[in-house]
Amino acid sequence: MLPNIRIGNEVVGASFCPDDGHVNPLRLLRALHRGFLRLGGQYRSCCEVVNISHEYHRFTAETSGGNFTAPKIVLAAGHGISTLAPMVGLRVPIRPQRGQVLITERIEARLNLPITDVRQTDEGGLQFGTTEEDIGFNDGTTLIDTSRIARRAVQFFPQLASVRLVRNWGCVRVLTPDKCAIYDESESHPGAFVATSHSGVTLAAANAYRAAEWIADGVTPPDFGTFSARRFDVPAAA
Amino acid sequence: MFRRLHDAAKIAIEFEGRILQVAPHETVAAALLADGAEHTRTTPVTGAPRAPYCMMGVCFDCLMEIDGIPNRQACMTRVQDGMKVRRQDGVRRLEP
Repeated sequence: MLPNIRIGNEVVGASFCPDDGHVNPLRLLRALHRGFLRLGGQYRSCCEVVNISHEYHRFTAETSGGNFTAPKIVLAAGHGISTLAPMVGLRVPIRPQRGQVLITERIEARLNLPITDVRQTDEGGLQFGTTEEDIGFNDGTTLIDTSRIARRAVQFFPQLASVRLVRNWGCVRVLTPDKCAIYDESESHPGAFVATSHSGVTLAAANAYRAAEWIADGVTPPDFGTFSARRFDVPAAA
Repeated sequence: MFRRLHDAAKIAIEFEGRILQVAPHETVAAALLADGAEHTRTTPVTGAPRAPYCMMGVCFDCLMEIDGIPNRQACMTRVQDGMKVRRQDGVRRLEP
């Protein structure tokens, strides 16, 4: 299944899922912005939301760049959701978790499948990682973790030993208690939605199609209720 | 186009088989610009010719094969006597 690269002797097995894929986050971000602008959207940067008010079925987001009013509002603000959700009667349990990744120089195309912890982008760079660390909002990197990530990649594919790293970073995930996405509408403030997932890249297709239709047209996809944050509520004891 | 400000004692490096006399404090990128090199690599994706640009290690447009090691940043690498420098021709190949 990987005809263009030698697999290390320490690899004793693997699993395969035909539905796995890779979304290039840089191209995704650009595509989302272009699509949004083409549909008439306006992107405003540097507008930190300080308050959300709800009057006459309209929401007003008070921001550092002025007020914006609309009949619907979607919280898709990563960890900013923790501050914003109570303003519209939503309860969204999320916590930070750090992941570290390594990026190599570009090399010829060798990996034709995306693999957990080792994948190659369309332009040739390899991405290794990651970690799952509970250390708050610290987005730094550690030598012990990056060296372990690199060693693991070389164990998988020994030919990568000579490939040089050009970047590494730590990034803070937005995780729910069961690591699955939350898509929810406020019961007390209808028209206020929340969408959060780790990650918005991995779930790009669900966010761009299913979740967008659910919010814009009110069409609830089958089994979408599963993603309500109410799943975390403990049932009352009998 | 580029000219050296000062004359200095020179050492020899090899660029694509050609011997160049360069100053020992120069980076490979600076030495090649002073020599008038037109391009120092071609890109992995489109094959477009590129030359050193930022000269401070950020843009990665100066990647070259230096002493047999591909994709090295010529602007971050100081010349050494006898150094062999080649253009980075497209994407790096992986050893068999």
